[in-house]
Amino acid sequence: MSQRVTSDREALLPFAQLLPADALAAARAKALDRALELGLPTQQAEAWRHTSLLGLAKHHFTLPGAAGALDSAPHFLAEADRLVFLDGLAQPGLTQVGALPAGSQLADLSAAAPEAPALAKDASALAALNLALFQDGATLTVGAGETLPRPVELQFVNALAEGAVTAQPRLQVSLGAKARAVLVEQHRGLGDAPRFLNHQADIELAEGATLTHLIVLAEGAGTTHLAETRVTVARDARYETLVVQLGGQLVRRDLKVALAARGATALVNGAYLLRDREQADLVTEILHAAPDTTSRETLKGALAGESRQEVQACIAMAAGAARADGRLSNKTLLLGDRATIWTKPELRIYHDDVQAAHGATSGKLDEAALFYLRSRGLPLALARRLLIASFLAETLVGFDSLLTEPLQALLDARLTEIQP
Amino acid sequence: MLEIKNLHATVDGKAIIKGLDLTLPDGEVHAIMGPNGSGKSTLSYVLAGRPGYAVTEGQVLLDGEDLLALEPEERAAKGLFLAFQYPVEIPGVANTTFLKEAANAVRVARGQKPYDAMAFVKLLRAKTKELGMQDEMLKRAVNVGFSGGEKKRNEMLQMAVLEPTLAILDETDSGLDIDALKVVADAVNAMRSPKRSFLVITHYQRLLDHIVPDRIHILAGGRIRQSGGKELALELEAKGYAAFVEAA
Repeated sequence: MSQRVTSDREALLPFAQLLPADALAAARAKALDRALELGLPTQQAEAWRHTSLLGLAKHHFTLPGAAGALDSAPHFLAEADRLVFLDGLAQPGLTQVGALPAGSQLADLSAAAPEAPALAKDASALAALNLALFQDGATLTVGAGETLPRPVELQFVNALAEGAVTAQPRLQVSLGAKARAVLVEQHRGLGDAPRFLNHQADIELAEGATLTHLIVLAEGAGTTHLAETRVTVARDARYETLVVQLGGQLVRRDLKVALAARGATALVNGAYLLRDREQADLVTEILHAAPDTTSRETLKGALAGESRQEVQACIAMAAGAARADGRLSNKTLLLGDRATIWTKPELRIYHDDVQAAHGATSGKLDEAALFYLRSRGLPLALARRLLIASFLAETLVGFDSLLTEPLQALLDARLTEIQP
Repeated sequence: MLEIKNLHATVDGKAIIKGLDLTLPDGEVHAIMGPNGSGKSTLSYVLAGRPGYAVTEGQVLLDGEDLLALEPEERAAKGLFLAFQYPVEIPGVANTTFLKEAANAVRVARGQKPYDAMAFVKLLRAKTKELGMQDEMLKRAVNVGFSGGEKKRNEMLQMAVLEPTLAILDETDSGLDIDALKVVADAVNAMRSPKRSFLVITHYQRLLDHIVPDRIHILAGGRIRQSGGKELALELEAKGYAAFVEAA
């Protein structure tokens, strides 16, 4: 089919068969109608020009079976309040949640007995599909003035079993005024079986709250992982996130941050280390909707083999966003002769008195630096690893060593494994 | 012992070294002096194995082994060290990490035990003190934000840690004030030994007041034009390079 249309309704029809017949059936049916009306985005849509979802049609996806299949899951942090999911379903036997401060809660959605979430007017097809099919996910609430005693760790383990499975997890995060939390999501593929993961997350930070949100992805070679995250940052609140992408057939993160009130801040960093024919996309939109809002975005990719990355990063400054300050940098190391980066930084500015800057570069490893290291006895492979690790390290700056130390170990292990 | 026989080398297809012969016995310090464009830096890069520097003819032996057949890291393991004229900045790599990776890479290649972390820190502390370097320079990224003098001291620190048998100093004196020059010279003199030889490449006689060479070679147009004792530097200072280049 080669119609010049920006959405594909047919591609979603097989998913209509999967609608769970539960208490939320009416809301699910309505969401499904919306998804079908919108259709899956095609490459004719501007935001999906370099990313095709046609591969999804090759499989007959089913929803995951009953929970309890996982005996253990590796940890990212030694100490954390932890929920574990297998193909999107919570594994209650592996839940470790200690005492939390007043007004705070961490639970999986099956335990939290969710009401039907409302479908936003501008919801995407993927958001609607998620609402139609979701089975599980996590909800995190932190009471006003409270700081979580431990980081929260969400372990998403995927593709352990054969067969084509789709999971549609939801994440709901709400921090009260001046609350503080550290949230780590780790997504790991344990096999190469086909998976279609469609994550949706909504994050609300009340006045003066701070959320540190680390997302580490190493999906399997048969996994398409799509995620949409919407963040609202209130007055003097701060959202800081680091997305680390270490593989998967197609991983695409779509992040919208609204700096909704004076003094709101967003720090968005991304580190990518890809190989073979992996593709990882990042689509960000940071909306400065109020005066004195600040955003910093530092994205760095190291692309080996024939890997591909699409970055669309938009900073928007609304009328009235006086003294807003936004900066964006996207640098890419092309390690493989056939690796590709498409980068589209974009500024949309509707106020005079603002500062905004963006820059994008791509290139190869610095030959002079490589020779310098080798002349000191470092073997070529080690010299390359060291230079790549140091290139990516800039994205880790400003994050607590509690997070960056295990990250560094993951990056080093990945570098040793792929020998870029 | 380093033996260079009838060496010809090109950079980007352009002939720079044109039939160079040189023998540097163990334990000796030889200086190479020459005007701009004479091939001094090219010689140092060819010896260290920089990609893009092609040898078209001739032979280089280090302790009887064909040096030109080795990768740059293998040359370092074999005992060759090049102090760069322009040390390279490497953002994101801590100087200590770099020094330790380098020292242990050559130690392992030489069949020695790698340093344990504590012993290495102790060694570094002692060496930086000798070189008048701040400990803080070990924590910073390699050469990033270092002054010219600090970069050259850092080269000397690497040399001390890597314990080469052949050290090539490529215009290590350029951009140094007299105090820094003395520090560099002291570092070299402290490392002089019957098992270690130095090839000191310089424009000026000044450095050779502090590192007194056994022999001096004048390089011009890609060849050694004249060799002699340390008095040759004074003659050169008085007459200028032109006399030697024209005489050849």
